[in-house]
Amino acid sequence: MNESTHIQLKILVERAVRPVRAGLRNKQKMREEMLAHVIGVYEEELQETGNESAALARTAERFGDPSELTDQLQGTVPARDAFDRLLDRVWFRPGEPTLRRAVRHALLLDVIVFLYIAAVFAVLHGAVADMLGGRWPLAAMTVYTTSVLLAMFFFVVGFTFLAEWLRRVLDGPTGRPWLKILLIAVGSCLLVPGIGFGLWLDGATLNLKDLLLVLALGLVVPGMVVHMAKVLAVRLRDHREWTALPLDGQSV
Amino acid sequence: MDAIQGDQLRGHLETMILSTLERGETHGLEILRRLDEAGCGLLKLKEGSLYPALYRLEAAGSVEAEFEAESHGRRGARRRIYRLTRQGRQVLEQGRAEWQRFVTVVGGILGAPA
Repeated sequence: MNESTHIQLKILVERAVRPVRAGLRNKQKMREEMLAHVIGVYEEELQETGNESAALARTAERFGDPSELTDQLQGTVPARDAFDRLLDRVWFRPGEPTLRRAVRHALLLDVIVFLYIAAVFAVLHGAVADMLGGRWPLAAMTVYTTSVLLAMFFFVVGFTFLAEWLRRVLDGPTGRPWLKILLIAVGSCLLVPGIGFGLWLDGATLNLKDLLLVLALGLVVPGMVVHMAKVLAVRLRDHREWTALPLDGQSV
Repeated sequence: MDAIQGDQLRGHLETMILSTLERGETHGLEILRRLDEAGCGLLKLKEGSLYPALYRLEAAGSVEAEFEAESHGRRGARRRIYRLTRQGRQVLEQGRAEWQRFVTVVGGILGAPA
């Protein structure tokens, strides 16, 4: 099958799938499965007719009206998919500069963590106040919360950049720039200990247990960076492959 | 004999899909082939419509599906393989019983008993 036919078959599928309001993962499942189907049908028809354009026309006819199919597919999207769509909108914005994405994610996570800490303190307020003889340790709480929020912010920003750099390496031309990969690996290992050290210099107290936890997290982060880079690479590749298809003015 | 079109299949397509999967797990195109074969070529279904029906069955727990590991030359597009679940078998049995009742009752009314 030549490239032009392959694109025509993808357009056939994309006409039905693109208007569906569903999460990216769900839509990608529909695209891939239905593309495999129309490729199978096209090969069958080509064998029968021996003519590429006739086979393409027969494939489109057998597949059915895309707008009717869109409605049918929409009917299969479960209500819980709305959460996936929300996550997609927050997490995946193709073309967004890395710094902006990193800061946006970091601030969002800080807001969530802050609300969580506030809720925990609110729940524990009575117990802690009783334990401390009615005295509420506001200063200690402020230092603790600020340290956590700062650490989260720098972690997310650093993590986002490391994952993006690795994603570019994976998406790049063949051959691996080992020096870059080595630097990313070292950066990943040092991300958490570096933040811990920075907070320690800033006056936060770290005991041996905290230190061991920081070192253990340092060993986990490279795996997380690799995973995130791979997920990002696949998402971007799928996005480029499907959303670039011109749906108007093409006849299949 | 006239072909049976998609609209006439409404309400029965899902049970028929379950019935084809009784013969073993397979992908969408093969399900259509099995339907065509069992319907002696008289079943005319817009093929895209098969997938919403499969997704509904999957959501209801009547079938399970997973992508093939390889795309086998379909340029990266993998097929999903569907298999009947225990719940799907029960739904199929129910569908068959309901169909028998329908045919008996309506056939009796129309003066054309099954």
